[in-house]
Amino acid sequence: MNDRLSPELKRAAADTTDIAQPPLHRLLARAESRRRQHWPCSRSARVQE
Amino acid sequence: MTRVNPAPERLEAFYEEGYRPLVRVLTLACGSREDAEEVAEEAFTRLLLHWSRVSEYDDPLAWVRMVAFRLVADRRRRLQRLARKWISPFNGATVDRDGSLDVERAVAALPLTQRQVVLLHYVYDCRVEDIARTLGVRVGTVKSRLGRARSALAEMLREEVPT
Repeated sequence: MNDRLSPELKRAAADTTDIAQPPLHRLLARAESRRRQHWPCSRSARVQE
Repeated sequence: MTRVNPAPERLEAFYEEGYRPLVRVLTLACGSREDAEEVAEEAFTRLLLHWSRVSEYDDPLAWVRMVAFRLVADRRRRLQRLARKWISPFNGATVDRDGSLDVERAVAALPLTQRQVVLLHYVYDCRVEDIARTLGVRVGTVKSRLGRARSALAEMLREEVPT
């Protein structure tokens, strides 16, 4: 069964054609917003693109 | 918090390489593409927040994977608390006419804790020690979950249990 599981699951995991990837800048904005919420006084700590 | 200053090209490369495969595996783990995308976005957001530290690791994507799998477990615990009983969307997985399930659906029919170890072991080739570290559980727990998962899968796939 091990011989079958790994290749079949890896094949399933590799099929990513229908997955849309959000732009990185959206996640950067989210991270920056999160940082400001948690560390509002830290002016130097910025998530930078 | 220390300054977060990701090197754009390296960060973009990790994101490009890691996002879609992670969503795919998380879909197998969560049973829902929507949940998988939310978890993957959150895991990569945390990568951005901790990039200065995590970028020094040998395999930053392994760190993202750890965060994502723990988030999946956290979400399940929250749902359990709310609903008292969590019902996997795959509990009603149908059996093929020949009486067997394909591998993907068989894995999806496992309890989440077993699904996690199976995916980490068989997709990412993680050792039990690495899986234990990723999920924050003991090595013995991983072995036990893996053993139960193999037995369940063997039964579902109508094959011999490996010794």
